[in-house]
Amino acid sequence: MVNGELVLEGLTKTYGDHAAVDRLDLRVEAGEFFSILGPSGCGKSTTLKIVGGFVSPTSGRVFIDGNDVTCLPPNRRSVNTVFQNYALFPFLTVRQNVAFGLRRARVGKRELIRRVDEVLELVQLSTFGHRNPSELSGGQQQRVALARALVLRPDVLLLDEPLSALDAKMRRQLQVELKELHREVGTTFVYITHDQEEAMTMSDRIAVLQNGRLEQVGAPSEVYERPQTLFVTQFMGISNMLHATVLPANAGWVARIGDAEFAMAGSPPVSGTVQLSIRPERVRLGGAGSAGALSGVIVDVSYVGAATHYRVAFEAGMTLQAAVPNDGVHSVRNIGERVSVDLSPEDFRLIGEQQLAEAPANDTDVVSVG
Amino acid sequence: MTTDSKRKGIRLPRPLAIFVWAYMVWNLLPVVAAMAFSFNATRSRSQWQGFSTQWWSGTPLSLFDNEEYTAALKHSLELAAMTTVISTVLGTLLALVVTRIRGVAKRPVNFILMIPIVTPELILAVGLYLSLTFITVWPFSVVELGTPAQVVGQVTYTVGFVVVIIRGRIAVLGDGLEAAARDLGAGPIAALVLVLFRLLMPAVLVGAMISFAFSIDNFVITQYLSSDSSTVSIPMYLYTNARGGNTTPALNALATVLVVTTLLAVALASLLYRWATRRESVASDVTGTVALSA
Repeated sequence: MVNGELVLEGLTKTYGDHAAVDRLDLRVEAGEFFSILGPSGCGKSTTLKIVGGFVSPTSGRVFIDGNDVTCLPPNRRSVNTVFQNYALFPFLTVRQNVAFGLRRARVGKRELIRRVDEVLELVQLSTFGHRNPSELSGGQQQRVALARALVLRPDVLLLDEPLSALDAKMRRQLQVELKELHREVGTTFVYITHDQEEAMTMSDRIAVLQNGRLEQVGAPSEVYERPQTLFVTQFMGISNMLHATVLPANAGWVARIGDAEFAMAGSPPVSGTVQLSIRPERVRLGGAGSAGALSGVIVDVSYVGAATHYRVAFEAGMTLQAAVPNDGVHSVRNIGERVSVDLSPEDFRLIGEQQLAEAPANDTDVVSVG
Repeated sequence: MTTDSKRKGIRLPRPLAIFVWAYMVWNLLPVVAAMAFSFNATRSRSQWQGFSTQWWSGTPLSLFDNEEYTAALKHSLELAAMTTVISTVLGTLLALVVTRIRGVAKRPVNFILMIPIVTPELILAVGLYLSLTFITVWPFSVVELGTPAQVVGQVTYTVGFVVVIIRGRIAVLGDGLEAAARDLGAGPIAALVLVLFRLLMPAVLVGAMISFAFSIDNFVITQYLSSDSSTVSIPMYLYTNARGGNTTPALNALATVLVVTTLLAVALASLLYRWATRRESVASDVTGTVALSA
């Protein structure tokens, strides 16, 4: 199966003088599980509606497998949508809902029955065919919506925050099911969500949107570990933001944070001060006396099950968040405890400049601690 | 346990309960009395002298045997049938168009739609009467006083209610289901017929019943736009004859027909609506609208 390549070219949608989607270029490979991630109002839903054919773009084009579909109405695109609120027809049974699209396509009776049976089995609703949607749970209704879209074998399946109305446990379960389903049917999935964890769990690649603009696109690990903008850094989970002074060095440059100096690789930034980010799980806590590290006091402890989150305050008014796994090796610490904090230069991300993100430093150690 | 706490929850103070019951009785008493006297054994409409159905049928003076009564009955039903069909069709179309209006026109259109509903009926009736009598340009010139004018007048009034009811339903439904139909391969017309009309049906039925009930009950507009004795409706007949000396309990029977038909129409509207939306988990406020307008 190679169908389902989706290309957006310079896609723009303006309402008055507000651009909901702003010159968006994207290429979704055939068969990919692709997520469009961003806060509400970032333009992800508008993008989906344009691809589905419900909103026509102000400018730009939409291609599916090389064919320009920008001007086709929704019923003439090989694209189907799983709507956020399911949008099941209340006056039809589950079977009739699933058969709705096949009937519109005038599929023969025997094939219709076979395909409906097949897809109901795929979503594990074989015994629910004669129920009304209102008699099903939220998760089951969601599966009917999936079956109804998948039965038409679309080239691209659009999913508009399909799990947002479900409780956390059901959401986890359906995330796993959706991934399996994607592997089984091989169709291109374009998944809209505002939940970065959900996007990372499920996707092959993620596009992060803000204010209608594409911030970054890449594999989950890439977007999480090498965010290219301040927005992506802060949106993809928790990040510590640090101000650093740029000092010259023989090789690379030196970042001065408070009293500590770190040897950084790559060409030095142009400006005198820069913003660095570091993930809480890369902030390592040591005993009170260990050498070669920053020294601070624990001001807050949050136990979150798999890990314990600490807030550590330093003398310069700076605080850092550290996530320490509860793996039996690390002991749980208390508020007020004095700790040393170990940071490696290669874990720093320079915000707004790309050279660090491309080539992390090789030499690691802290140059000096004041 | 649960019934106990329920009882404790909304216990009315005794004086308030008495007041409510008194109000109920006060509401029902005149209507029930008027209906009861249609079964009186004598000509009296104020003294009960035994049960009989003679004022309903059997004698030349009975409701169903007297030309004057049956003409009024027939004319009222004719008017109601025409008003119901026309205002339901027009109201549905109007509601579909009005809900799709965006931008600056939205507010003025909504306001103008409300005019027949908020204008005193008498003003509307006089206005219509003058327009139809003195304006000699189309379309005013073709509508003659009598049945055509009466239907036009009633529709002018009821169509606003139909629009309000159906627009409320459209607002509750949103455009998600229509979009889903388009997404699954239905063309614009198919989506409208297969999904939207199907979903609007309950509200359309309610609109029809409300139009019917209004038409049967209406006096002012129907009176103003009538022509001769062949265009006398039930309320008109009652108004002209109820206080005269030469009346019989057959008049009460006529009034009973009016009350019962109206109540049936409203009850039917409410039942149909509940039946047609029984599979929807979404609660809707259209039933509230029905209760209000009834």
